[in-house]
Amino acid sequence: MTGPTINVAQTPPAAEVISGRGRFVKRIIKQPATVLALVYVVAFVLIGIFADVLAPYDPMKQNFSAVLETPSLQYWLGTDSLGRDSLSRILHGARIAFWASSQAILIAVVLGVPLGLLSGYVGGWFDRILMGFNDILLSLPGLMVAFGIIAVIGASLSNAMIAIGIIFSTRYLRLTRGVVLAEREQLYIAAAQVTGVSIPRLLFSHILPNIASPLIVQTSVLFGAVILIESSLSFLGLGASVGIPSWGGMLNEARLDYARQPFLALPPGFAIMLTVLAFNLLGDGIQDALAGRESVTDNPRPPQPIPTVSVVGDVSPQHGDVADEPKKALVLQDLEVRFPSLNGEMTVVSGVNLHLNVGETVGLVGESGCGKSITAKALMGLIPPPGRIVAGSLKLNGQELFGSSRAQWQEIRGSRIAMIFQEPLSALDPTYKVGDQIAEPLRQHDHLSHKQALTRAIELLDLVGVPEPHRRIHDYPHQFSGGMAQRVVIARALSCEPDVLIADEPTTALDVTIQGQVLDLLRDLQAQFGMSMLFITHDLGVVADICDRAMVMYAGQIVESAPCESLMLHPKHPYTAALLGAMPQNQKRIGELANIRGQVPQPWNLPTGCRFHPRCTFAQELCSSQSVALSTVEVEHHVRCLRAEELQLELRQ
Amino acid sequence: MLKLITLRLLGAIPTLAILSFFTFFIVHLIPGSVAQIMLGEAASAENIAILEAELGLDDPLLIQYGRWLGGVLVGDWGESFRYQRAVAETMIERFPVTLQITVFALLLSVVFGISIGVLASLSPGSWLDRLLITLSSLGISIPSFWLALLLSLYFARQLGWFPVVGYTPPDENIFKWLQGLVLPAIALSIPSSAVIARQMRASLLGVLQSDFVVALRASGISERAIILKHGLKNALIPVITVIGFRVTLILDGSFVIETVFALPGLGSTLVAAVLFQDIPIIQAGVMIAGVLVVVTNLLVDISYGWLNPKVRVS
Repeated sequence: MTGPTINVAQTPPAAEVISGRGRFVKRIIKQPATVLALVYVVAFVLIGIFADVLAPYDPMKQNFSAVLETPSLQYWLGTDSLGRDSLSRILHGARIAFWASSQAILIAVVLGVPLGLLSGYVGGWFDRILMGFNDILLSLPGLMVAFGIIAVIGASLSNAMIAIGIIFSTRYLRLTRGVVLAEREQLYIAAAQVTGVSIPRLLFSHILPNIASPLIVQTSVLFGAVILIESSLSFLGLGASVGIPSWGGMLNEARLDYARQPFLALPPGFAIMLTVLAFNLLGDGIQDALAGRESVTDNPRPPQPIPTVSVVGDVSPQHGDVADEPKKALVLQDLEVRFPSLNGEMTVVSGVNLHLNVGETVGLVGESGCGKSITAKALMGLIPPPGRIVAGSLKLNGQELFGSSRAQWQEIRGSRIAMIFQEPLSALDPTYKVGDQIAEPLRQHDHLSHKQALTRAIELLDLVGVPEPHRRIHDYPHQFSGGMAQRVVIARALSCEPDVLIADEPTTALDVTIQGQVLDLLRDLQAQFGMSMLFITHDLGVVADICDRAMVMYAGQIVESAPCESLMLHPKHPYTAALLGAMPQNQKRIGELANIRGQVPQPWNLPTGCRFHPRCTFAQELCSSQSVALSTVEVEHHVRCLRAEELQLELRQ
Repeated sequence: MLKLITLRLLGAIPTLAILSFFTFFIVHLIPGSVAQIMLGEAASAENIAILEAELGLDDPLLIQYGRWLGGVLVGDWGESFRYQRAVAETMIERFPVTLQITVFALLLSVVFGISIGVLASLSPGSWLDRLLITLSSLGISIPSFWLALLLSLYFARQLGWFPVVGYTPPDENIFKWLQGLVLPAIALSIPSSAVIARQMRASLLGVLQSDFVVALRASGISERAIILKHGLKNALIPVITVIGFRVTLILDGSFVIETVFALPGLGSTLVAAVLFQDIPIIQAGVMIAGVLVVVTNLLVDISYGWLNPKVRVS
């Protein structure tokens, strides 16, 4: 589309245009297949123009002393039943294919583009009727339409090309109209700001540059399609007349003689296929380059099983642990996750330790991009490739999980660790009934029958507070509200009674009134199932509401960890204090620290020393030079700050 | 679902009405007179005038259209200019052969296309994926009638596994009938298989990136079930559209391929009709193609309803 809507009437600076074009050419050059296709197309056009000079023989000259010959030094591609040189006929065939297809494309453009402009510009009934006709013509088999047109105007190559031109004009009409409609939408908004500019003029000066690139892509692909249809028609005897060296006609002659000389069928067939292929590849390549993609195969990979990792560091007791410590359900140590980037691998999460006691709820807090979600995914063994866990240990009831095989992870996920998500509706498959989706883990892990699993699904839905569960198991996800859908997701997560539930911002996307209900539900269910819960959120209010302990993450590290009350009332890290200050209910009380200046640093651009120091109000010289370790300030209260002991960060009550 | 079908069928009526009007009009677009074509160059002006009156060519256009449409609806599709034979009779004889090839080729395209697309998307970027993408680029560009020629040369003429030419009706010998359709259907299915495979691959890769797939993985659902049960069903929705588009292209291809195998379908009849300006045959061909398009769109809509519950409910 166009640039910003405000400066519509201006053209972009020349330098920008050149750099844009430069990028485009660079992208094209990076695609070897496109370059090859371009070379072929140029050669094809040149052969089309200079066939007379290039062909070793007259394509019509018969030589009855050399009929149906196989390739030789004299006749590189052999001869046909009349002793005509196949190579010369192929080269002349290129000329016919080129001129005929150009003619058809020209007719299609001349018919389609103005009609499309008109249809898009006039709009209303005219547009609807024209597009109605266009769609009918577009939906009919092209060859059948060509038969109809050729029957009326008579069979000849030019007439066949007129027919093809008419058929393909529908594509140009549709394309042009689409561009006009898109531009109109934008320009009317802009025109309201720029007074005194005529809309038609504005429209046309904007459409021409915008339509150029899709038109080129379309033409390249259609050129291939036209060559295919032209050869079909010539093969059937409805295009180039008999004897004229067209590729389709040559194939028809080969059909009659191939019992005696099978080789005859090869050269014209390859000529058609390679030419069509070249135009298709060129079209694809231009489209990719315009869209800024490097190649068609450049798709992201789906997650792969986590590779075996080496566990670094021995399992030392956590800070502040005492002998009669509560039983730990989950222990994560020294987690380090890396993702590849342009400048080698970057570390997204490093040195993260956390544990969940049995029946405990722990909050993991931080701004977006601080590594909370990556940590959660690591706990599920679901780090999306090409990311990987390079170090760390994860123990579930004493059993090491990192290094598990894909099959082992499958058994653990959903049955011993489960997860709920931020967007409940996109966490459910839209094409299956919710009952089946809740039943699926039960069938997979507990090997229940379909009927048993559905009965259990009804019980679970009842448990999570979905009214009329026996009826609602037959509904699809889109028939649920966000809050109800989150209950369904919770029911699925709890179906196999997991030891640990990871809740990744489960209330963020919900209405405020629903948020409270879902939090209450989770609290009740946790008590009922006796499970441990890791609650990921950026909302400290939610943490205060539901968590026993909380950990604050910043730039891939844990910066503070403490029991909830201690963290809320006596934060030791300036970042925690800033987050607390940013809460709306606290803003009134303190009137300052309303927001935290700056942004979370990117993993490839971490500051030296304390990662928070550029944004910290209390930063000193030492903060930017010395890296900071997590230190214990009180029992169960750990903080990563050099000035933790001296700062008084209490919020005024 | 029944409501959806009824609505779609009713919606097709205006389309067919417009199409029928244009089809009818073909006769009047021909330079010169129909009677001239029917009677030949040597006909006298007097005879031409008599025939024109007989055919009702003097009547107002709308009346002529009404008469023609009334005939079409009750199966009277006029008489061939060339053979003086009822067009309906020719169509009943020829169309089933074309339809059989088209349906057979479509089934093969769907099976090949979906399997290849799924196979390629299992390990994107791998050598297998790259190989399949390259083959599909070739498949899209290959003229199916040339492929038919090569297949017949090798498998029919050289190895003798299939008949070189000709058609055996299914009620005569069902095995020979099938044997005769294998090569044409395979040749016809390759370009469509390639297009469907590409769409399937792109679509499945997209679905496998979606949130609900992460959620399924987090529930410990096996990768096999994720791809075959959830991935496939969601990914098929856009693929169905592409399959619908391929039907008319396969029909087009069938007209050409019938020539290679000398199959008594519509192809040769239509080509002869084009050359002799045998308009009633062409008109019947266009109308049959139009109905086929309407039926295809209906099947596509029904498949949508089956795959996508949102469409079904609303």
